[in-house]
Amino acid sequence: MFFKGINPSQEGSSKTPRRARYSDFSFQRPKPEDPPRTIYNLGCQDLSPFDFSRPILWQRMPTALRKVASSIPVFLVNSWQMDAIYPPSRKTILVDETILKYCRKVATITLEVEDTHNPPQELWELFLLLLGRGKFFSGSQPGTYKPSFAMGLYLPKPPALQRILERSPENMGTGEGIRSPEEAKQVLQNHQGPVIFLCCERIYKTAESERMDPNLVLDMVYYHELGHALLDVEESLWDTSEDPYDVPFGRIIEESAANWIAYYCFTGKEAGLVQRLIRRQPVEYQGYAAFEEAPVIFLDEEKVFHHLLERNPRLIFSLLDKRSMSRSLRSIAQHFYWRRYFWLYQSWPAIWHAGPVINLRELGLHWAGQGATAISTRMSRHQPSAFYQTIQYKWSLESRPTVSSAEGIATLNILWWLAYKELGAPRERKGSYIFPLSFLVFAYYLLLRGAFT
Amino acid sequence: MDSKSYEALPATIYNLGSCAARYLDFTREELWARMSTPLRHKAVQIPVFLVNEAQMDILYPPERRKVIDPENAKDWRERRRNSDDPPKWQDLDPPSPDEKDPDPSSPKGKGPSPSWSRYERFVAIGLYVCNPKAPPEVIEEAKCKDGPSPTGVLGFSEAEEAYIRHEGPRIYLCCERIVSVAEEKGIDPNLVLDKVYYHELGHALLKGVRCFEKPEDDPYLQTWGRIIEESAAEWISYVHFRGRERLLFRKVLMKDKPAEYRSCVVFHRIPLFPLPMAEPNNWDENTQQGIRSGLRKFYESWMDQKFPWGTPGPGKSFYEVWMTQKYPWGMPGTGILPLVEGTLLEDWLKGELFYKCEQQEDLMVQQKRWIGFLSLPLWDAWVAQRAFFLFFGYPSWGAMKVTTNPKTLIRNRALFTSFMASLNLSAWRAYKELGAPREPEYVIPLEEFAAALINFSSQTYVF
Repeated sequence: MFFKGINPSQEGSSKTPRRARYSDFSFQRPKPEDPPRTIYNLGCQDLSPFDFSRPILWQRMPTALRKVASSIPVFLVNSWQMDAIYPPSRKTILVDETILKYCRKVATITLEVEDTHNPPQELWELFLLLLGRGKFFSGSQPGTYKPSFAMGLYLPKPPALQRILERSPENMGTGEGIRSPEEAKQVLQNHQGPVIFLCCERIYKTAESERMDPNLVLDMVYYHELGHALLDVEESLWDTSEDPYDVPFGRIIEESAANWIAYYCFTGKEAGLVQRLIRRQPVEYQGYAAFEEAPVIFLDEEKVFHHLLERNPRLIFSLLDKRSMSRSLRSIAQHFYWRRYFWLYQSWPAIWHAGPVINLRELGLHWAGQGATAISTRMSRHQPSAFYQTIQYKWSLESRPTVSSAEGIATLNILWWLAYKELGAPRERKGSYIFPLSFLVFAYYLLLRGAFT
Repeated sequence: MDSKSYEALPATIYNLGSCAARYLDFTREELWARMSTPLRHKAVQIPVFLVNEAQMDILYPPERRKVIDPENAKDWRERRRNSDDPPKWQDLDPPSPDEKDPDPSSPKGKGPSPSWSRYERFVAIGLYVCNPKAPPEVIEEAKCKDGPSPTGVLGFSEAEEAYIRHEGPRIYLCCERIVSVAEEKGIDPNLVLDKVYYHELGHALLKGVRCFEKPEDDPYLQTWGRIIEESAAEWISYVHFRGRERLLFRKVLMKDKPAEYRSCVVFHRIPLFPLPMAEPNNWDENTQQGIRSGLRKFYESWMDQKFPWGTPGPGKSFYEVWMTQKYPWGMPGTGILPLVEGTLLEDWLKGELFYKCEQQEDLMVQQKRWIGFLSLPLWDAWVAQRAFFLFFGYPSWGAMKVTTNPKTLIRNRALFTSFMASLNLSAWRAYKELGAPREPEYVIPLEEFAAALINFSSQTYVF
């Protein structure tokens, strides 16, 4: 009698609560005595607060991240060097007031709007805003961008060496596990692939102001940049005209995903401190927690049109008419918002603290029970090979028997995002906005859950 | 490397004048490790103010000083089950005796409930506020004006400034009450602190973007709204504990709680219907009554359902058996079932039904029950689909093997319960996010759900 109602599956030692992590399912165990020797000092004078030889730095990483870490060289630079190599297009953040204003408006639209046939104007405006290239970033406005954000940088190609060298100081710090500036110059000259830069001065300043261990901040920044490396695709879209990072929705998803990867490496109080660090960052970084709550949901085009046609049979004629196209797209957006956002994103099942571990098939079933019939077939239709390659090489998803529900959802989202980037990040396809619309609504959801208390 | 200690905490915690704060430790690993990601996300966002009893009494809104006496809830439940004229919300949650002429349509008066004084120290122990007003007399009531503590709690001067300046939601925790409750129960005050803190963070999780500016819009001030909100927040708090701590939570800490808090233990056992149940403003008075009684019957039969294979004892409901039976290996479960390893559940159920039902006297009754349950007019296609996945499709379509493996059984049961709870929580949150509309198509299912929560948690075998 004493045990009735106690959920036995969730029983266990409460002293050491710990999530399952990727390395649990991996055959590759970390070797703390032999960490990857990929860290070079290019211009940091004081390295005494940092310790790169800590085993925990490498033990925390999941297998996929450790693989990336062993292949990408890390260069420690000072703040002048960082400012010199930081691309001007990335020295911007989202202007939060504009977007948050629309978010709040859309989120508090009263219910009656659904029943009217006029789509909510604010919703459409918000979607256009999230789709606008280069707009709503703070580049032109002074004072909105703080250099303290630029603690780390991932670049798919190494920058010009001269810009770094002319700002390097005379006496540079050394530490265990850190290679010398001479070696760094050699490597940077010959290296072709991606590189990571970390600014130790800013990391130390941040840690001081937050009264945290500088090594914890360092680890978080490093994992975040490794996350960007993991999220990059073979043919990088970096600084091309298709780069989704220049579009607000793309930036929200990219930064939230990278932050989720960084956050995922930590547990317990450390995870809380990392969350506190993330709290200092701009709004586009705040969606990391929501990133593991709900999967991106793709709508079947036919289904949308079918539904709309039921309501308005004349729509078929208007679809043929180019001028009224934007109108029908509006109604699609509205439909998408009301049906999907409210009944799927609002019911975030994974986060309601489901203790047990479930597998991806069950997860799919869970969503299917709530009306999302096809979350897994949409994107594979266009170019299956890219998708499956992504699965195999990036996360080796199939090899793991079970993952926790939150992990599974986040992995799915990362996969969708990667596959989208592998397709060249199309934002319109023959006049159809449906493809990025799924990501738009997802980005809206990340904003809403991340930025509002 | 220097062995310097870094005292930063994930959350911002201020001591606004509580002397008992020194007995509480926010640097413990398990306080933060127990939390799930979204809960910790909220913890990082929302500042916490530690206050003393006098300060909490000023801060606690008078319209929220309402509790439901569990004894009262028992009577209410009996009357509701047995009489044709069911008792009203007002009988469950009476206004204070000194209040003159309370409005029957809105049972919420301004004054506290008659039994408030008995439950005050267990309820006004923590407070989550969405739109804070900061009355200045709270600062005058500060007893200990300590500086910042070495454990990361910020001192009085910072607290004073943040108390006046901070916009947005905040959490108040009354350390004196936390410590006195822990002393009375003989358990670690830090456990009580964690429980209260998670409960308030649960309220934060249940809130969306919308904050109710006008008090009349807030469903919390309705009795049914308070029951659902409090049991949901308490459930969130409850599931964050495991093992011995969960047992302490349930057996010790929940003893002196009002009925709406105690009902968290059945929150994941009862389904809330999707809202709205029909197009708003389409139900006339007769339909409303019909829906009400239909829902009431539904919830009763939901908890009273007999096992298809017959109950182990006479007159025991599905729920009762669920709660009291044990597997042979001592875990709670459905008792000894004649299972053959590897049978498909569907086939086994069919065979079981036909074989056992022949032996049952009340075969017809049972069949009728199931038919009535399925043919309820309220069950539109969407609900039927959900139910399908709940009963048959989850966790996998018909391919779930019948198994005697305790691990699998326990896992399936845990999946089932968390699934139901997630539906309830999300429905309630979405309802508030829509602005808490008061059409009967929304309110009636919510009222019946709240009544069911009170009903089933006031049964003796729940605790």
